Amino acid sequence: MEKNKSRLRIIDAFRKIEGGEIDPFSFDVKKSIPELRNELKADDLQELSEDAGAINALSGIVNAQGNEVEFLTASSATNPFLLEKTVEALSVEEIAWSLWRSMTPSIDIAQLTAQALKLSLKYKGKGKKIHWQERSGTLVKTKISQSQEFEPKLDSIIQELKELGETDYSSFLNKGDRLERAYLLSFAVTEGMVALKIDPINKKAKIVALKEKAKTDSSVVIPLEEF
Amino acid sequence: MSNEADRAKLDEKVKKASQLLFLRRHRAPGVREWELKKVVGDDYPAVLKALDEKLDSLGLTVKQVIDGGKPRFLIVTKGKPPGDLEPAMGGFKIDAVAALAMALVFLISHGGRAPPSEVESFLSGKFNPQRARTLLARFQDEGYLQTGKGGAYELGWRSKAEIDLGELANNIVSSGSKTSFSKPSSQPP
Repeated sequence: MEKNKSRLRIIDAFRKIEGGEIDPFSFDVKKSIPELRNELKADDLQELSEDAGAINALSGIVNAQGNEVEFLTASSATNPFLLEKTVEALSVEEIAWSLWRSMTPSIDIAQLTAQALKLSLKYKGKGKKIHWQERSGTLVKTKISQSQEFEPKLDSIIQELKELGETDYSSFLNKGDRLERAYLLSFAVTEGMVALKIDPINKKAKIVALKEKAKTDSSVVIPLEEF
Repeated sequence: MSNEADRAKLDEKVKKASQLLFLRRHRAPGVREWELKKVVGDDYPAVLKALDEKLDSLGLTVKQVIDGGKPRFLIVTKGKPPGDLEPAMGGFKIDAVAALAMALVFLISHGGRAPPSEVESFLSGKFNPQRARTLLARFQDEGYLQTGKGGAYELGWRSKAEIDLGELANNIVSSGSKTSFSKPSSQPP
């Protein structure tokens, strides 16, 4: 064991540096090289493997030191201790504003997909978590090709509605995949291509295709039972 | 093929690329190189350049960042957001924005990596430990933090893409000096 002292010390130091437990510069690489050289006398395959492990760890430590120098040069010349102490003294709002003023946030559009709606309903029914693989699976299926199919489907559903005239919302959904039709209709209504009318007495929803686009000015709640 | 046909083809690809980049389909924003190649084609760099020119007038730009050793592309604001806008980061509340800043500052002051327990403990100075853990897990999901080989927290690809770490450190220090010498304000510090 004494024989392998330097090798084990180097491997242990590398593990701690990788885990962020110690500063890469707390390890003296120069001093360790001659010590390690004295120990590198492999008699068998096992010894050879341990020697290789130690050399790999030592090069990893040198790499970590290089990364740290690069990181500190690129990020800031501010005293790390001062930085931490200053953050502790600031309010939550001041810290948040400091970050906000130093960033270029990413921009994207959140979208609700038919798959996400189906999953939500599944969750609603069972009231328990859905496995991540199942969630990821639906995301994988939501590809750009769907958006290429979207417009023809939307046109087709509006045409169908034009032929039917004013019709009951729920029975219209029943003519095919309810969720997909509801999803498409929601776009048609939002875009002003279809009008959604709610009877104030019996609360029944009716839909009608419009000849010209109309502005929608209110939101309508469709009870979950409709699905 | 005529120039006009080439132009029309490029415009069509720019549309596809913008849909791909704007419509978020994963928890984290942006698309990987293989997705762009698949949808737009091998000439995606030229398409992104054309898209970037169009986005310029809107104050946006396409940014490339390395995620897991491979390129990833996302749309970010060009220049800093206007100072009169409240911090708004994909549904993060202001306390979550502050927690992210704290985690990043802690990593900056520890050479870019630190054990999760130490980051949690630092955040626990302002948040309860459970909230700190939840927020750190979310920052990982969103790509702002990542776990390195040895289990330490490191800066995630999204922090590198969206945040100027040097400026964050300077802003923190300058806010600190204002707080030390003047009365704290509830307005943008």
